[in-house]
Amino acid sequence: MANKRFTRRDFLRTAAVVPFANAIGCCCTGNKLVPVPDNNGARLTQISRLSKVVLVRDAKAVGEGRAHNAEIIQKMLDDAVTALLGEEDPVAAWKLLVKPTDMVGIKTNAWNFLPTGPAIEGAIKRRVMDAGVPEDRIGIKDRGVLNDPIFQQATVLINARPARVHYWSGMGSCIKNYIMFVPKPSEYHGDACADLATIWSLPAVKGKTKLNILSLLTPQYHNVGPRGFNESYLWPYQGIIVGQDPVAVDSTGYRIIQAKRREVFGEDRPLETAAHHIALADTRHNLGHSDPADIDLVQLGWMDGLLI
Amino acid sequence: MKPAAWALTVLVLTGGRLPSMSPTPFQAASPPGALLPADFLGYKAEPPDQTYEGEGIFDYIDGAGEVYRAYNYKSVIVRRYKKPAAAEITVDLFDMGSPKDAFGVFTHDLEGEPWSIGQGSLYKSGLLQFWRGRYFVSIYAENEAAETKAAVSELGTRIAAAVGADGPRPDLLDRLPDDFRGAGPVRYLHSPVILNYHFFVSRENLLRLDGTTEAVLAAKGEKGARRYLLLVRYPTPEKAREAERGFLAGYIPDAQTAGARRVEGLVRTEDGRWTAAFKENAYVVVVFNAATEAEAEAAREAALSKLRRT
Repeated sequence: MANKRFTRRDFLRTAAVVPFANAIGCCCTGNKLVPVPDNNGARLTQISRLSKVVLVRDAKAVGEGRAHNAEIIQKMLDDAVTALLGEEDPVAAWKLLVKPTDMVGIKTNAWNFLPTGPAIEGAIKRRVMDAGVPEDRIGIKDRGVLNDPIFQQATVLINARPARVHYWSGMGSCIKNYIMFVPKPSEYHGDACADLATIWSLPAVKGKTKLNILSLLTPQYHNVGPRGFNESYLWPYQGIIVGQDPVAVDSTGYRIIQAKRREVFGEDRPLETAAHHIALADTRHNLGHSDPADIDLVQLGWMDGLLI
Repeated sequence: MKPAAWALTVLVLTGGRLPSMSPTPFQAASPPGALLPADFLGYKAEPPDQTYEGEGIFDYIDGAGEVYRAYNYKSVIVRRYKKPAAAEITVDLFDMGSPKDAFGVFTHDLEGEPWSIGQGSLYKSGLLQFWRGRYFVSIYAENEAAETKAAVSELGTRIAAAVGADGPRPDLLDRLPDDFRGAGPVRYLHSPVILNYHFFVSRENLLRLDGTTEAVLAAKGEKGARRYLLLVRYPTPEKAREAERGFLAGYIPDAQTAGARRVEGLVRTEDGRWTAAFKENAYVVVVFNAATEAEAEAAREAALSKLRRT
């Protein structure tokens, strides 16, 4: 494991220097342009380094009994990916992500009570195939990815899972979804999964993830005790967040969960476990952007109850 | 934790008895399924029951299943109860294999309102949790209302009676210094995962915690200024020595040069607080977050004195 001997004292040293606690849920909104140097060291004029994230919603994506409408979800994914990558045609957009010679692992989440689900998995797979990848070079899996031949040889990963509060990490979202790429997930549970982002630098994963899809079709905003699921804490948000920066995707999803909790509880009630791994993925591990000021959020579709 | 919760926590951790308890020694009880009623107060069991063992628990409660695995759970049986126009109630009956681990898993979550069921119980937001003998029981109502609260309580009472006799608490609790007994949350554990959940020490298992070790993490003081004492018992003094060395090298390598009197195992950490660690026979004690050097040393002396007396 990278940086295995990370102790509380390392954390205290970091905390003394880097005020990272405000990176999530701060009051800053809007876009930020950041000057960067060119190859010669000369300073360019303002160039965006924002992480683009697309939130798409459709009021009919999920029906009675949490039934997913595959056709609508396919359209939502297409709209999101084209908006994200600046293409009009979804297949053209997916061709920017995968090529026919790629081996593609779709890392899903199979937990019985709130899985990613076949509608989202199928929509991804269809477009990966449309982009020219043969079906036998595509795998969809959650547990067991380390022993799966397709994931072992994967050149591209697509990361898709539902958003929900989580006992160990506060928030179960895209960063957390790669916990199955380590042999012993519990090694990452310390300090509310503070260093989950280090998983993203492991060889099985590093540099391979082309798209993160966070399902907020029916997210779970609250939990009581270790029990992971309660139907009454789901709500039909009917949304999907898509982006290439997993931290920006998770940060956006987390803001929506927080907003829902404020709406329901009438106050900023903290999660049972702090979701600080999202901010730390930015400030400690440089995996992506968690500050809303660094995120270019594009909103598409249904706007009722947007919460963000 | 709400102040009222301390009353029961203190009672439980200091060996107090509740009126419903049986004083008889712990004995193995019936098969788990037989311990749950088929119906109560108009609720009826909704078959089939589900049983999970080993890693199967991850199918039921996802990653949080690690909590129960960290306490060596043997199996959990899940039964759902339904009643027309009432919220569904779910019971998780965990056979933890021993009273120690039933107690331990109960101490993992000490939030809630004290309840007088079993050997220790707490209620919060529709969730009642208690332990008795080798069983840990979680009863959960989908929606909290006066009626469901009463139903959850009644079901808990019936199950507590069915699981049989009380079991002993871990004797390691008796080795805590007096000022850490009942002054705040006290958790019994074996696993570094559980330790790090309550108080993050290190990503590496510096203290060599495993299934052969028993540990108690006790806290006192208000949140934000809390002091912690970790007491670990190893199978042999040699194992304790290895653990102490591992901790000193990994966590406080600067200890020998810190402090005016250069006391081994005592250091001022980056937040201005003090950590002290020492070994005594098969025990290792670490005091975290003491406000001053004198406080750290006093806590160490108190712990040492207690260990030598018990």
